[in-house]
Amino acid sequence: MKKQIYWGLAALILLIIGGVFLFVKNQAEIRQLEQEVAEADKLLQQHNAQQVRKEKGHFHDDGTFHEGEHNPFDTLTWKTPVVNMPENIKDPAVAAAWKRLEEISKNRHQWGNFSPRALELMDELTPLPELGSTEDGDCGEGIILFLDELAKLRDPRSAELLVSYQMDSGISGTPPDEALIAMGPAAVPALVARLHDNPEEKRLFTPFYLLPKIVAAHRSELGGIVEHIIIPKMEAIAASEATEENGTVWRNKRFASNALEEILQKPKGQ
Amino acid sequence: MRFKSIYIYVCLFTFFAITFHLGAGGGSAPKLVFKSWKAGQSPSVTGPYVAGQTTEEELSFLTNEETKCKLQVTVGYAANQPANAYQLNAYEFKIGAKVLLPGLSAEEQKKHTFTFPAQAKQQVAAGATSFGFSGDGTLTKHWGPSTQKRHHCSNYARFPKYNPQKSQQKGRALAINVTFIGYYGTDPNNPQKLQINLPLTQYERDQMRQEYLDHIMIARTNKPKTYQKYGDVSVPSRSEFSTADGYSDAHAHSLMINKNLATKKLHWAQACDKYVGEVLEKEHRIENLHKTGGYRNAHHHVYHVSQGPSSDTAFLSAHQYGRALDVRTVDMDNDGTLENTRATNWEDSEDMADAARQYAAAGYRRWDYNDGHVHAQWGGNSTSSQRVSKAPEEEENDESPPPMGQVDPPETITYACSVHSGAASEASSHQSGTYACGVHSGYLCQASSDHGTTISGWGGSFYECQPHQTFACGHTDLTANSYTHRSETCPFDSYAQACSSGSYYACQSHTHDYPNRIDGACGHTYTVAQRSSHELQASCSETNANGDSCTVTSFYACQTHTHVYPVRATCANGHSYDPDISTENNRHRTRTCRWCSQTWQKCVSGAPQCLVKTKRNCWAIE
Repeated sequence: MKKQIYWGLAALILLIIGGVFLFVKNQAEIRQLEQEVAEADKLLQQHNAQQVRKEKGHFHDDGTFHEGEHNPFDTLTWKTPVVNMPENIKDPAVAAAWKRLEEISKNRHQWGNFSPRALELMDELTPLPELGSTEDGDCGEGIILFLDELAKLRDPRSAELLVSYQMDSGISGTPPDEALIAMGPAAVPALVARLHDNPEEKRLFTPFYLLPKIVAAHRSELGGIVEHIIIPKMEAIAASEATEENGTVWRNKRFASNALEEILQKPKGQ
Repeated sequence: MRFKSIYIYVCLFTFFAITFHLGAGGGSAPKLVFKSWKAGQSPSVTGPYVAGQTTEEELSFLTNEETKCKLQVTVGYAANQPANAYQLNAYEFKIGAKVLLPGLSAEEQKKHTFTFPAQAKQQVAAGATSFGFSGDGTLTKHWGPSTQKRHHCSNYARFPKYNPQKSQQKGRALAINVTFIGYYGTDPNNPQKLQINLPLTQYERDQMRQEYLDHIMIARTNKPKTYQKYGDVSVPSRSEFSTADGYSDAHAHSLMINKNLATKKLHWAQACDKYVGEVLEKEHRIENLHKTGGYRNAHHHVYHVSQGPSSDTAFLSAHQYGRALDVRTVDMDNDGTLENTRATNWEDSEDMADAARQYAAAGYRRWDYNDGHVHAQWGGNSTSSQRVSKAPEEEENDESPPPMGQVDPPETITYACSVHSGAASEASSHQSGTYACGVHSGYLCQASSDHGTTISGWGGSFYECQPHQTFACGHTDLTANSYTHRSETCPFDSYAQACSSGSYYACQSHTHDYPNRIDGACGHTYTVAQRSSHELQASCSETNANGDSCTVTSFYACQTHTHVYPVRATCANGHSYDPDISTENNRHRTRTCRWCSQTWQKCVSGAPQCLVKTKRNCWAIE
């Protein structure tokens, strides 16, 4: 009898041990399976995310993501400036005008020739000289030499830099004005961008002086940009309240009025 | 008596002989003149130098650089040579050159003396009529007393600070004296000498031009990086200098370069006045501008070049070429404050710069100075602009206003174009400006359509007014791009084959089309058209005089071979035949009768009657 119990107990113990062993093994396998599933899920999510992003952009060889497609005219030193469209545009005509502006910016080669020398000069002229940094006897001759050469090249990629010199440095020139006029629509994105500077702080003579001349020659190519972007902005500035007589806002009002008169070809106040 | 007569004749003969001998042997001294000369960068001068008559302009010169002066001189015979003038046997040049500086010590003077290489006496070749010198005079470079590096002949280096009164080149002319000594006569050991002089001196015009040359050397030496970036400044021509007036800051000089500075200041003032009235819509007037800087001679800027890093580009200044003006800022907005510093945001200064931009055709402007002036420079002429005046006050107080419903006719004015007139509000359309093309300018009302019409060219859009053409390739493009549309001839390939196209336009992509080539088994490379010339031939069709064909087989058509013909035999009847051909052999071989030993050949007859009576015809053995 005792022998049977012992044998029975031994068998039971063996069964228990075997059961525990199998249980633990299963748990480990289950955990491993769960981990694999989790990793697979993660990979799937990443893949899905990449798929979504691919539709919106692309990855470079170094792993960095670039939204959208590259402009084929971008180089290592020059990238097509982004057109900052206002948000929440409800009027489809206005949206179309901003779209047209962006299209012009991306295809500015249509209004001039690209020149490697222009990129060299732009590099030479960057950064702009600090206002008030000039000393006695320095009339900016060195800068003027390069600015003059750049203006004569009429490379549309230089529009932003030329406008910046005219507005932000203490040196301004007629050749850069002529270059911007010659570029025509290609200069408009740069001028429109600066038209949206704060009129209380920034003197806006350059866009008000040049835009009417460009509009006069290229109205049809600019399409709705004139009616839906340029004119409204000019009207807004012309109508602004100048708190300080003879200050920057007051001057910008005058510049805007003159520009409107030229674009609309009717006297001021009408 | 006879002896006496003879004696008299001999004496007379001797007397006359001696006289003629003396007359014949004693020639005149030749007349010599300087035919041409050139010193340094001066323009060449041709024609004889006549002492006291040749003009200052013709005797003034400019050196290559401060330490070297090239000199070329030629001397020749004058046109009006005296009778029996001698020809020169030998000659030499002596050249002395120095800076004419008043009150210099002998030691100092040495430092300012060019040294030309010593000239040995030259023998004159037979028939030579021109005698020349060409060489370089050198001057040792030395520094001024200041610790800062400066070229010596700039002379401002003598003073620690720029001093307009003392630092000019005026009075410090470089002078070269060329002496030519000609040797002539019958006695080579005791020749006679003839000497002429050519004095060359920098006069003020060239002294001022020398300053620009000094500038170049200073920039190259003291500002090598800046010089490499911007290059040399240009040296003005003599014709650009005129008498100095109030627009000159050259002080010690009586000459200046003046590109209509007075007119430019007037136009700038007009532009400011117009800007005030039409842009700022203010009533006050700008009558005049006060000049603070006009023409500056090059040495004025040498000081700025050497004084510090901020003046790296001062040596390029347009002031040196009479194209720039500095004027004092005026109160453009009439608020009682001059806004011409950082604290006031330079409002008035920038207004003046924009006025020059919009109405006076100024090339470039700078206005962010801290000393209250504005700079403008012009590439060409300035533009005049008049502010449109308002109607007089009496008209506003008219006691008889127009009837109800009527509107006063707009004031009619003659526009700036001088061609049209009309309402004042339309004046802007008749002012001078740049056309839409951005290249040409003029009165806006007179712009022809080609300044606004664009053409889509091959290289991009351009304005119709720009020189353009339709090239042979069919593209329409700017004439300046003609090289891009040139016709190019296709080259031959390595097999001397021509491209089927013959030529192509550089603006179009082109792939040369050469005939395809085959590498044949014969070892040659040939075209498809030439294939038959390289094929394997089964047999040769050549025949000899006997009509036999060549027996060579399996050869390439491009390969030559020696023809091989069959060997022929001659039968007993003198016929030639090929023994290898059985029919011929059968016909021509000699048969021998097995019975009677007669021989015969079938080419002549059949088997003959056999001599053995019991037989009929002969029967050949084989």
